[in-house]
Amino acid sequence: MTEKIIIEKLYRKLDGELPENEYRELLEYMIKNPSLGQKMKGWESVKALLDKEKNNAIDVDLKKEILSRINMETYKTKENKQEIKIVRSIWARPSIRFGFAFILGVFAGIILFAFFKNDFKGSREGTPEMKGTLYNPNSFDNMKTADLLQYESPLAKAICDVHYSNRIVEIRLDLSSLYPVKSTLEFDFNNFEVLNIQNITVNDQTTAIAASSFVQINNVGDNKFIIQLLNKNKLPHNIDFKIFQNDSPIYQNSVQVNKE
Amino acid sequence: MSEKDDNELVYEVIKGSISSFEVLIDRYQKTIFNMALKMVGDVETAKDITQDVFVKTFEKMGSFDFNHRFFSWIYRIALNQTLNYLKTKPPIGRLKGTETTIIDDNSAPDYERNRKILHAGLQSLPADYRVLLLLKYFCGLSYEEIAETTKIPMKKVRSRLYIAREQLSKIMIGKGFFEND
Repeated sequence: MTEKIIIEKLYRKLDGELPENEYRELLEYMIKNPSLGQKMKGWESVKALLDKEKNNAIDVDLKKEILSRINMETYKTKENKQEIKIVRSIWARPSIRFGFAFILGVFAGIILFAFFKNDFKGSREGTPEMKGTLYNPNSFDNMKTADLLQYESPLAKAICDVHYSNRIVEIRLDLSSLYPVKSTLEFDFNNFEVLNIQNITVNDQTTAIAASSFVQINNVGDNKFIIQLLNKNKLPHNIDFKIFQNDSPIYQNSVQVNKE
Repeated sequence: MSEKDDNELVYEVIKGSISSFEVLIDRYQKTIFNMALKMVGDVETAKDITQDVFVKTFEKMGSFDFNHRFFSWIYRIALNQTLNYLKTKPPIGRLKGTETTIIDDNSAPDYERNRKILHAGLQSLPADYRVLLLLKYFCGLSYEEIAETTKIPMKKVRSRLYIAREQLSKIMIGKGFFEND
């Protein structure tokens, strides 16, 4: 043990912080080196003086001054405030409600998307269920053929090609007439609903009107139309195709879709 | 005086009890004042520092960590306050303003002389060492409590206290402390 360690231990002994085993070691060393005892006497006198100083410490009472310096106004207001604890159910929290609504909305969106994706997806290599999309006219070729109606007379010429899938009925209609003719596609609104009518070759004197149970085309010249109907159920139903001139029927036929 | 422990009183102060804060003032003002006095050497400054310490303690009471002991927290505030003061103003060489206030049952001239030597010795020590001696011998803290208060590891506390005592003894011998033994 170096002298520094021994003296440090002596100090700790005087401070009452030396464990018993270390004290025994210290005693053995002190017996061999009695000069250290003299050194400690000096520190004991200093310590005695320090203790006396502690006992003679000046008494002060600064309570008043301290309390006067504390901002009691703020403190009192704080003290008088009544603690109001509002216990709210977890559902009453807006964040929880909006979060829940958001998750529900996303979930509903996913379900709806999954439900309609067959008809709105632009894929060409999908299952037969996905035939007849609005945005992919090429799929027309992949749809089932209902019938191809053809009519030709000096007054008018018409080709009505009807295809269908589980959800869509697509009609490609070519109309050609020198004078105004009226053509209608009639159906039961419980079974079909008009989704879209496209006039591919635009002609100023030609108009197309859609109602809940029919589509009417007033035609002059050569025109091509794509008419898409929502196929509401998979049961066989008829669509009546008629051509009128001066309100007199010149052609009438029926096409069955959803053939069994 | 209240029998409640410090942390209980702190809890009550946070809840709004001024009387509990008064108990804490009663408990610690004497030690803090005397420690500040030994550090700065002037009664009025020591009083100001003591007041500042309690005001700061009150203001920060809400952030008190109940896993610690209150005395180590308030002594730490006191130390910081005193050391900050010393950074701006050096300590006064003798205890100003204590001549008539000391209750001295050892009125022999030797005691007065030794007191002055002790004070001069303490003032000659670097502030870091002086603080440790004051915490040990005036506040009566154990090594462990000093370590907690100063946030210095216990081994370092022991070693610094050793140096502080050696230096103080040397200074006091140099000023003739042991001549009258």
